[in-house]
Amino acid sequence: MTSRELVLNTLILKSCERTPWVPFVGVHGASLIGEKFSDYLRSKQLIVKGVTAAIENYKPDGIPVIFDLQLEAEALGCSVVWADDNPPSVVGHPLALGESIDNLVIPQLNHGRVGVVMETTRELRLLYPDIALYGLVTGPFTLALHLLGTDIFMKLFMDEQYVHDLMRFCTEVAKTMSRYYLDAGCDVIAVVDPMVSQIGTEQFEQFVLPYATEIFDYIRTEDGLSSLFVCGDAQHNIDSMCRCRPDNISVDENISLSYVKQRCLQNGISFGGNLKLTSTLLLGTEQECEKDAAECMDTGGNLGYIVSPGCDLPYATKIENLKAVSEVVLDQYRLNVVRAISEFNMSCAHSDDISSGEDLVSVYKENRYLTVDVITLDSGACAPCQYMMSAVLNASEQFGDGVRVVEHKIKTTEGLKMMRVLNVKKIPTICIDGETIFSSVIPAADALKEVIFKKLENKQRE
Amino acid sequence: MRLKRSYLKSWKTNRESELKMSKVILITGFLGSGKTTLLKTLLKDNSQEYKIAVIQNEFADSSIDSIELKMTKWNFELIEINRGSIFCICLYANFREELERLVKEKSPDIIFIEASGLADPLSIGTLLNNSDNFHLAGVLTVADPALFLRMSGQVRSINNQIRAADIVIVNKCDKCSKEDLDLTTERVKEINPETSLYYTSYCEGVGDLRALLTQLSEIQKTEIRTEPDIEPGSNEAVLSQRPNDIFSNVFRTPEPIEEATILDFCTSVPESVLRLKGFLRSTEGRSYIIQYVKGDQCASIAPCEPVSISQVIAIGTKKSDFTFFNRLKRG
Repeated sequence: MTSRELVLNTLILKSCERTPWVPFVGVHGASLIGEKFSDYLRSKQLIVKGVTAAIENYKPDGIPVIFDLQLEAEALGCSVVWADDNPPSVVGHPLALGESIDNLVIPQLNHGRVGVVMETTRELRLLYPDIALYGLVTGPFTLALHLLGTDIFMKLFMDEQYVHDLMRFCTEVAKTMSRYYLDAGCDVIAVVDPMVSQIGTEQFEQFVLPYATEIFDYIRTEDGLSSLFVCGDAQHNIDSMCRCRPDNISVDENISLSYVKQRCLQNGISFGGNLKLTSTLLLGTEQECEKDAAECMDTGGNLGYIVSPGCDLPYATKIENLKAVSEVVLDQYRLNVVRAISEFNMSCAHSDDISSGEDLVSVYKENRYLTVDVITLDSGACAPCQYMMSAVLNASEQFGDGVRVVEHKIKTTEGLKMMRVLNVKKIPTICIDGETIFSSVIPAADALKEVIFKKLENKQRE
Repeated sequence: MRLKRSYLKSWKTNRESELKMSKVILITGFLGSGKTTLLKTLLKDNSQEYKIAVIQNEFADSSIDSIELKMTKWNFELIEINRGSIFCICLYANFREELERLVKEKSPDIIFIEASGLADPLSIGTLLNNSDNFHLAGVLTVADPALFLRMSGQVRSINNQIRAADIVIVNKCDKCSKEDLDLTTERVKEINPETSLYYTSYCEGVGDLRALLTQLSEIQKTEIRTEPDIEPGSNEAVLSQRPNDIFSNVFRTPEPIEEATILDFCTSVPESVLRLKGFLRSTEGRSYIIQYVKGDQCASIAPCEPVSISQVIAIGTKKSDFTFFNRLKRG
């Protein structure tokens, strides 16, 4: 099954061999190729380069062409301010400045940057036939806010008809944009409507539900698949969002993934999310990102779940962090390691039952022989661990009593304690007399023998 | 000799700036409730005395406000960030870096952040977690009673802003009836029983920063108490001198928490925590307000209006102790 098939099958709730991974690389694409986002979004060549870099680094199953909720607004005459490391911002709202809804024109391919984005989509389709391409469309309520400004919140109460007229127009825009993206080769249309987290369920049902439903029905008749992206605390609207009949709903860390899973699956809808954008992906460590990914996957389960961040990945998201997530998603073995470690951390979170690494190292130093600790998942059950164990045993054989090799399986409490004592971050790892020597790489026999020889020599000299 | 003295002086200045941490105060409130007016009052009354920095969203509610601010003669640093009118936590992602840089370069006593009208204050708070340069000292929320009564319950951010507030400044009182004022007070207290309320028009009379900071919460008093050399009541005591570095940490989760876990959490607040407050949602479907001030035996909880996200802010003297929040996580 190709990555593309994996995403498409998961979206329609078919069971698949593994969970698909769709990183929402938007502004981050520019950072990957060292460009300003303001230049990036205006250039087919740069977007293709950025998406290519993301595909090479993160090995995704699906990816958006761009993540820019200002594309339609700009084409519709909203004034926009550009930033180098952030999406552009809408700062002028034509309807608030006296423009009438009747005078707004649905964006054509030659309006604003619409044409550039569609040409980019065509090129990416040709380059990556096996990866699912997402076309992101500004949701009707968010577009309405762009066009009218925050007055829309007052109008919800003061002038309902006006809001309906505006939503009708924004719906037509979303349908047109969806068609452009599908014609250019996108597989999935994601209607991104973060502002629905701001309104109550009553307003959602009155002002958003009928229009969003129409958009998703339209995408279906055009043979596309659809997703509804929200961010922010929109948990109160999840049930109503399900009633809009998208194929998929994707949420951020403000909404409980287990709740979304339960509601979506009950309604025959697939779901995705909600890796933590800032606290783990941007500011966290690789270990925290792996743990976040493993937790999401454990909650999401095997049916109808897509691993993705909650929203557009920040410009400066650490590449290593996203690679760490990618590894956990793509490599069952890595996932098992992360699960085992976090289980252990949970079980001893409140205990001080761990001796310090320093104590151990001083004991090792006293010994006349070298101690080689190999921290593995379980060499009996996992291939990389098995290779590492046999490499170590082969290399140390010639040193006889001078070297003692001990395997610590992190499936056992003892192994996990040892991992913590030795401050080991990755599995499998080789430590000699308490010092990490090879981490997550299986050393060549000669390299390993050389290290052991030198360490032993030093020891005898001391 | 002269050289040496100036060297000493610069060394001292450097040392001081190294030791200084800035207090961050978030100013929130729905569109048009008077956030910039409050900011202006605070600057007018305090910018000679304290080193103040302001972070304002350039285009958030009205750009005129920001131009007006720039034209005043008050002494403060203004940083404008361009994030448009939509608020998304992802758009604030590199904001922490900007803050770190500001503190290193200017070491202000206070940083006011005027959040966009649709912002959820505590999600901004998470971006301030565990910094060595600043901590979230408080949240001021401005409310316009007429707007508040009409929109509370309809626009989510309004209630979230009240819920996160240490102080709610009820503004535009001259333009509303006694009944509306009473209703506003009642509604605010329903959402956040522990908040203090100020009543004002044009944000007048709320510019006394020292009083405001003392009011902010017990944290200020705790800080003063642990530093016996400083005369209580002096501005110095409240603002500049701190015996210890203080860190803030906001914990947020949309996953409901078991009540037994909540109780266990209440009894395990580390010594180093000075203050803790927030809201928790339990697996049993109930919501609780939680609070703790150093000296309490344990954190106390009381039933409150339903919340959808559990969020708790802790302020304390030891960053590593904030891992006690892990007790609230699943499993």
